[in-house]
Amino acid sequence: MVDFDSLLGKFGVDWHLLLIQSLNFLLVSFLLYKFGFKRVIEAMDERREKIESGLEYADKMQEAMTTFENSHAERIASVQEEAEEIIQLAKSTAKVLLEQEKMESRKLADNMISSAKKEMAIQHDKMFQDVKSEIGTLVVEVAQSVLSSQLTAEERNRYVLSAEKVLISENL
Amino acid sequence: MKNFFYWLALMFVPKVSKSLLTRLMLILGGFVLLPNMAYCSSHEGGVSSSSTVVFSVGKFVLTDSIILTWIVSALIIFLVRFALRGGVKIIPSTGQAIIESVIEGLHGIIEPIMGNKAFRVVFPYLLGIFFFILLQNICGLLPGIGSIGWSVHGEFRPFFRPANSDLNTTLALAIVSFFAWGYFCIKCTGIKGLYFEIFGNKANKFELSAAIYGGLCVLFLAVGLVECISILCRIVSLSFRLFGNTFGGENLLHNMYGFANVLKHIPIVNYVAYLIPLPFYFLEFLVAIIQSFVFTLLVSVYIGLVCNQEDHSHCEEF
Repeated sequence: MVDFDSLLGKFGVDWHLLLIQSLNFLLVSFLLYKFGFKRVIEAMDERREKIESGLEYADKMQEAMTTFENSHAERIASVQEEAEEIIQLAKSTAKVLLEQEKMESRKLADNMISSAKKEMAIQHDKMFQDVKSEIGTLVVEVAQSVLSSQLTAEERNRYVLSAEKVLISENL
Repeated sequence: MKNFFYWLALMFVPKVSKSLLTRLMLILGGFVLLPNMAYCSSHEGGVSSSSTVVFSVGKFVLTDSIILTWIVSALIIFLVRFALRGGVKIIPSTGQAIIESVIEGLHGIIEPIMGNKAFRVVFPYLLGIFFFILLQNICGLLPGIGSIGWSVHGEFRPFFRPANSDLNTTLALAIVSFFAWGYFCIKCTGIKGLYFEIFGNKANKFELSAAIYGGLCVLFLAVGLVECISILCRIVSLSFRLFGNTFGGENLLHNMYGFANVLKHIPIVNYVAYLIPLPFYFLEFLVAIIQSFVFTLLVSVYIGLVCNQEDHSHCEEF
């Protein structure tokens, strides 16, 4: 049987010393934790959280940037497509408008020509009437001057009227 | 771990130069010259297995190991406060980085053993153990420790003795760790959980017949009793492992100086005689680190064996 008392005595084990050393260790551990390690661990945790949140934020930003780039490219493609459509539409519209303008111009020119012709015809008729009237008057005056000495007043009137009828019938 | 050793070396070298080579030379110089100078007052014969009473008033005794324990304890607190001077910051100072590298190193090793929840509760205690044992061990290698003292009737009595070469210190650490084990296990698993872990029948009740299950209950109870003895034996194993290594290291260094003392009388060899203990100083430096790590690791394993069985939701942080 091992004699524990002599064994412990050989190594100088004493409960007073055990107690002192235990209390000393606990006190040192407590002080170290309270005024040192606790703050360091908190700082490490805080740093880890910041790094994690920073990385998370960076990932989110990367993801958002990728999404934005994709949507941007899609948007650009759709806008380009839209622009091309607009250009095509503009071209076709311009073509139609040009055709319309041409038609209208032609129509206007035709109208102008026809109205000019009409005007010319009217002027022609008017001029013809004027000439006819002038000639009639002239004939009458000539006839009057010629016949005034030989015919009576009644005969002259009858002669003038018959001459007018002739002129009218012959469209002069 | 590379970082850890680098910073550890840095702690003991003044800021003379930023060069690593200069620091190594300073450390080597310290190990070679200072112990040799201190040995001048060293005593002959082996190191005493028990501590020496330096001062006593009635029942109150002050031994050489307690004196050094108190000095080193104050030094530990001073060093940590000095390292964290200017406050703890998110962007760490050099001192804070040293402490953080040690904490980070231990964190990486111990957390998988204990599980996250138990780890958060126990880690401050483990840090205390690690730093306490480490600095007590390293300070035990400093010149003058165990070699400066006085003589009573031709018997040398040192003023200082490495704390862990006194069984009182290592036994105190083991006993405190034993109670800490009980406290943390109960905190994490509850008394019922701890009882089940030691004595409980781990067999599946529904897969076995009642007779076999009952028999296993008795068997597990017996195994639990053996386990209890094993748990109690941890006090002895923890304390004697640390004590044995430190005390053995002290004796080894002492004998190497004795050997060097003999060799100094031999021509030519006398020039290098005092270099003989140098490799053993490096060995003891390594032992100091390893033993503090082993003690911490074993305590964490003992706690982890109980607490890391499953996810105990009622394990709260400090």
